[in-house]
Order: sequence, then structure tokens, then C-alpha cells
Amino acid sequence: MVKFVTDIWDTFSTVFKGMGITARYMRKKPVTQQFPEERWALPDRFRGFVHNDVPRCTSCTLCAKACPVDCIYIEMEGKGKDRRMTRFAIDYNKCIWCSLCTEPCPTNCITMSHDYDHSVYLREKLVYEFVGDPVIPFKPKKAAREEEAEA
Amino acid sequence: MTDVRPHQDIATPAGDIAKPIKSELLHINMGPQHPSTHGVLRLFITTDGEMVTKVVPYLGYLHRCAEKIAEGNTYHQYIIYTDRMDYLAAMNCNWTYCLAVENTLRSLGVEVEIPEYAEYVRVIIGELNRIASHLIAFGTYGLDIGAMTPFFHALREREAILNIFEKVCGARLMYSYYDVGGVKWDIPDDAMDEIKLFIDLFPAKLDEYNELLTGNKIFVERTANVGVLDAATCIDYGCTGPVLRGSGVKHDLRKDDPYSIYDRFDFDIPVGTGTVGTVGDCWDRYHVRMLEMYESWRIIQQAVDRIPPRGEVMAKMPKNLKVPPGQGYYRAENPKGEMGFYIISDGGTVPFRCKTRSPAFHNLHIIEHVGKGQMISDLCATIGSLDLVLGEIDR
Amino acid sequence: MTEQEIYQRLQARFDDSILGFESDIPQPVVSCTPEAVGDIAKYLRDDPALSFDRLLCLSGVDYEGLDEKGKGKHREINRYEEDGTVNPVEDPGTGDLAVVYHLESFKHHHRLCLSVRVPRETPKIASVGHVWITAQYGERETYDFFGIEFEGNPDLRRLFLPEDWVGWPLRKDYEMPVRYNDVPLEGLGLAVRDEQ
Ligand code: SF4
Ligand code: SF4
Repeated sequence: MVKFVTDIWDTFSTVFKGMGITARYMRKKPVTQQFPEERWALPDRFRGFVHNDVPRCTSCTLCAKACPVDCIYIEMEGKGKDRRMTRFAIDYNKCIWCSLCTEPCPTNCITMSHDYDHSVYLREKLVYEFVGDPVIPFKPKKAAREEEAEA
Repeated sequence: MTDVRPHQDIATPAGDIAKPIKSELLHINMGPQHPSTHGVLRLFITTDGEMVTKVVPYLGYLHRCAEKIAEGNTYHQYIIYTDRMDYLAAMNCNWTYCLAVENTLRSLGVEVEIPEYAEYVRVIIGELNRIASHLIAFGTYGLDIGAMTPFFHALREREAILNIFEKVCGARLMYSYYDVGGVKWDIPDDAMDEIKLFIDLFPAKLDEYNELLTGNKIFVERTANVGVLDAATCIDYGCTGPVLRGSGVKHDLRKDDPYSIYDRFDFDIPVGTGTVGTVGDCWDRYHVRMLEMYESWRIIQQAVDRIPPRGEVMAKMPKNLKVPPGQGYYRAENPKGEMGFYIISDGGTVPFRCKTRSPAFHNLHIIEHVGKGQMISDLCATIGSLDLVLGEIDR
Repeated sequence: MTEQEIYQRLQARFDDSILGFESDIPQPVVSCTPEAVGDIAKYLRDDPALSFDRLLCLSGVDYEGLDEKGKGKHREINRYEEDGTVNPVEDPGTGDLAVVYHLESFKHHHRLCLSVRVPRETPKIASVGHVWITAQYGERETYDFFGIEFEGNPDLRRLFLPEDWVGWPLRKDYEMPVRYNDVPLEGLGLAVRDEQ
């Protein structure tokens, strides 16, 4: 009988203790955000969609080799002086935002941007092409020399 | 699918029916979309009325064959796949894997000198993630039992930790922050301030959790004396982590086989004591996690106090990492238990074989043993107390 | 006890069944014959001086194509080409399979690595599921991925893959099936350029 009463007492007292905490929080401001209207500030290191700054890309394919899921596609034609980059595509279906591709890049042209909401209706739309017409790959040494000549 | 069986065969709950009633066995699929199986675990249970007579787990719904992937990826590239094992404690999985590769390198004669600053960063971030993982365990356990409120409180603090991680490494769930030989970035100042703020605030929150759930009479009634595991069974089934410690075995790799710089910190290993029931019941396993959060908080506090000024974060590693031929099994204490990697290398840039010992896989096995003779609702409580993460079981 | 002493003890007891001991590596390995592993396991656990009460990790290994020279030029596992086709493996493997047990003792804090090679054609080994119950799942996993049969395991079924899956995925000569139950398994990548 005593146990019965203490059990009931325990139940109600502990439940009301918990309720008390809830009641305390009712008077506080909510910690949630109303997402599409309010957005939080993204930190500097935020890893969003991968972006490639094509004019500075040397088309060395180091990033494609570093990518663990092989989602960077680089195609080239021609040899030597006539070498042209015809395709630089990233398949965001596969990309896992790991930023491994940004590490070996010699010119730091491939970066993690701060975009994160690119919803599309078709999976094919998530293959982003960065190169339209064939471009001449960037040559860091030549650019440096030209800069010197200008100066 | 039923087969008829006389009632005497199975254990009757004490004080129940006096005369035998003919009952039928019923096969039930619990999962893979059951809310209390924490993911896509499918349990095939045989019940007699409300009593469970047999539990058979069916796995593989999240299977990605990470071990095969490891054989086609370089050591650096595989780090990101370890994120996807225990997704609630991705930092710790990263750490264990990096530790395994570093130790394999070291044991084969390659010098890997991890900078002091990086070691402290590793400990701080790893322990923060341990807290985050235990918070989810605490919150969802309440949810399993039927208490909704603790979950939101737990997620609020986890959010604070994820914000810190976002500032540190730019991601909120799949961090790939640890690297072989150190960490990828340092802790920026604003993140450090947030960590300090978190240290100040967390003990009060922990008290709140305890008030909300730990002492709650309904919760205690649901978990005390339920799913009791004795130490010998736990060891036999290969259980580690809070499940083993909940059964009263004082075993923690951070103390017993110290890796990294854990020998410099002062912390205790909480074990189950059977405060409200028997040693090794669900409540004990739950309580061990609550106490562990406090211990992690202590470690973080000490580490933040003693962290050296910002310096190098990476050891000098060759760009094209090659591991000399050899093998090694190395392990570390993850929130769920002992995680280990068995790496065989034949001298190349990719491992020849990389086997993962995942703690939840071994912790899951015991459900076959402990599930027998329980009520279905108690089975839910038991699964929740084991804190399974299917990403890690299936790999 | 050091691994050396454990090895000597084992050799005194199991003479022929113990095949060798690699001692010049950081985590020394004792190897034995596949038939005797059940008895050896029982001895390892029950002998008071050894009392290996924990099985840390049970792993299967396929030694097919291991580069003995240590240059890392082991056999490539089959990989997808960029357009999604499979790069098939031509010749079937000939190397041994192996099961590796990592053991630890709570009482004495010593560890042991036990390695058992089994032939590829008849991969059969005694089960240790009755010694360490946790091995039952590890054996099922190893059976699932390597096709090694553990004689005496009470419930030897595939663990992760569906029951009707063909082949042993973690063997080095495994070829990915093209379809499974009419679900195409290849060509899932979206590498093809959108022309319109
Ligand atoms: S690594 Fe950089 S420069 Fe080289 S191909 Fe990739 S983006 Fe271009
Ligand atoms: S972020 Fe990772 S997955 Fe994405 S393109 Fe870069 S390397 Fe590949």
C-alpha cells in the first residue's frame, strides 16, 4: 500500500518536474528558424556546390583523379599547342561535397561555393557543363611571363 | 504464417494464467520502416501473444560494400566513405580510420609525427561528436519509450555542436575533417568561442535532461529490469562501448589502450551499477551514456584549457601516400563501442584489404539472445538502449 | 604473454596443426590448418594462461593477386569505365582465401592474430561460433562476401546480400552481374552529355 502511494507520488512529481522545464521554455524565444524566409549566415568554410573558374583551369585533370566518386569529367582534344579543353563537367548527382578535388588544384580555380539549393526536376539537369566552346587551357607560367612583360 | 503450439513450451510471465491456454505463434516483421528500429533494420519476430519467442535480424538494406570500395580507392579517398558508416559520429569514424592508417605506417617504419595542436583538435572535435551521438541516443530513446520532449531538447544542443562543426569544416553531417597525419583545417576563432560557450552551458542542460527523463518514474518503470545482460554474455557476443559498460565491465579503450593523447586527461569510465534495477538493464545502458556525456565534457574542458597556440595541423606526409607492405588491426573507442580497421597493404596507394570492425554490428547480435522471452514493447526499449546505427552495421 | 610464448604453447599442444609463425612483423601472426581451428579456438579460450575471451574481428581475405614484391601492383578489381560499362576481369583467381581472427584477453591484456588459409576450390573451415558466439555473425558475413563455408555454424546464410545473389563480391575475381531480378545494375552514371 505504501509502495502504491509512493509510486503514484513519484510518477506525478517527476512528470510535473519535466512539465516545469517545458513551461520554463515556453516563455523563451524559439531556437528554430523559418527557413526560406530566414537564412543563417554560412561560415567561410561552408562546402556547397563545386565551382570551377574555367579561365584559370589548366585542364591538368588532377581534380578528376582526386575525386573519390569520379564525378568530374574532363575531355580534351589536340596535342601540344593545339590542346583544347572541350568539356569540364561535374555531375552533382554523384558529388558528395568532400572538397578533395580542391586540394591538388595548382591554380586554386576549383572551389567549394556557398550555393546549396539548386533543386531541379530532372537528374540530367544536375550535370553541370562549365565549358561551352573549346577553350585554351590556362598556362600559369605563360601568364606570369605576360604579366611581367606588361609591368 | 502460424503454427499451433501448446502453451507450456514457452516461459509464462510470473503470476499469469494458471491453466494452459492453447495459443498460436505469430510471425511479425518489425521493420524495415519501423520507427523504433532506428533506420532500416528488419527484425523477424515470432510471438506468442505478447511474448517474443524468437528474434532474427535481417540486414543489408543500407549495404554499400564499403570494403570493396576501399580496394579501389586511395587511402585518402576512403576517409570520406568512413563518414558514411556511423553517420551520427562521422568524426570518430574518420579518426579511427586515420589512426589505423597512421599506426600501420608507424609500425612499418614510416615516421608520422602528428603536431601537438592537431592532436588537441582531434580530441576536442572527437569528444564533441561523442556528445552529439549520445544526445541522439538519449533523444531517440525517449522517443522509443514514448517521451517526445527530450528529443527536441537533445536536438537543440546537437544543433549547437553541428554549428561548431560547420564553422570548423564546412559540413554538418559528413565531415571528412580528419586526415591521415592530422586534421584538414584548424579551429577558427569564432568556433573556439562557441566551443567555450558550449562548455559553459552544457552541464546545466545535462541536469535538465536528467530531470526530464532519467528520473522520470514512467521511464524508469519501462526500462529498469528490462533487457538485462550480464557481463559474460556481453563479452561472448562481442559487445563493446556503453552496452558492455552498462553491464558493469570497466572497459574503455581511451583508458585501457590509450591512443592519441587520452592519457593526459583526467576522466572516469562510468559503468552500470543497477541503481534502479539490475546491473545491465536498459536503464543502466542509458545512464552510462548520460554519464559519458559528462565525462566527454570534462575532457573537452581540459583540452580547451591546455590547447597549444595555433600551429601546424598536418604531419609531413607524402602527397601520394603509399603504405609499405604489411598489415595491422587498430582500433579506437567510438560512441557506439570499439571500432577497428584491419588493413592489409602490399605497398601501393590503395589498400589490398580494409576490413571494418563496426561496434553496432556486434551489439546488434545480442538482440537474438536478449529478445527471447520479452514483451514486444520491451523489445523496442531494448533495441533503443543498444543504440544501433544501421549505416555502420551494414557498411 | 607475448605472441612468441603463445605460439610455443600452441605448438606444444597442437603440433602439426600449427603451420607457422610470422614474428618479424609488428602484430605477429600464427597460422594453422582450417580443420583444427575449432579445437584451437576452444583451447585459446579455455586455457587459464591464455583465456582469449574476446574475438575482436573476424575477417576474410582473398590473397589472389597480392603483389609479393611489395610494389602495390596487385590485381585491379573490376571498375566502371567512365561511360558506365564494366571492365571485366579475364582470368579466374588462383590465390588462397584466408580467415583472420583477432583475439584479445580481458584478463591478461594480450592479443593474438590467428590466420587460416583455405584453398580457393574447396573453401571449408571449422566454425568457431560455439566458442565465441559473436563469430556466428562474422562467419555469416565472411560467407556472404567470400563464399567460405564454416562447417558447424548453425545458421550459415547470406547476411547482407539477398539470398539469391550470385557470386562472392569481395573476391578479387568477382564480376558484377549486369542485372539482378531484372533491375539493371550498370550504366547508372549520368556521364553522357546532353546534346539538345
Ligand atoms: S585541378 Fe584545377 S587546374 Fe587542374 S583540371 Fe582540375 S580545376 Fe583545372
Ligand atoms: S567535392 Fe568531392 S565528390 Fe564533389 S567533385 Fe569534388 S572531389 Fe568529387
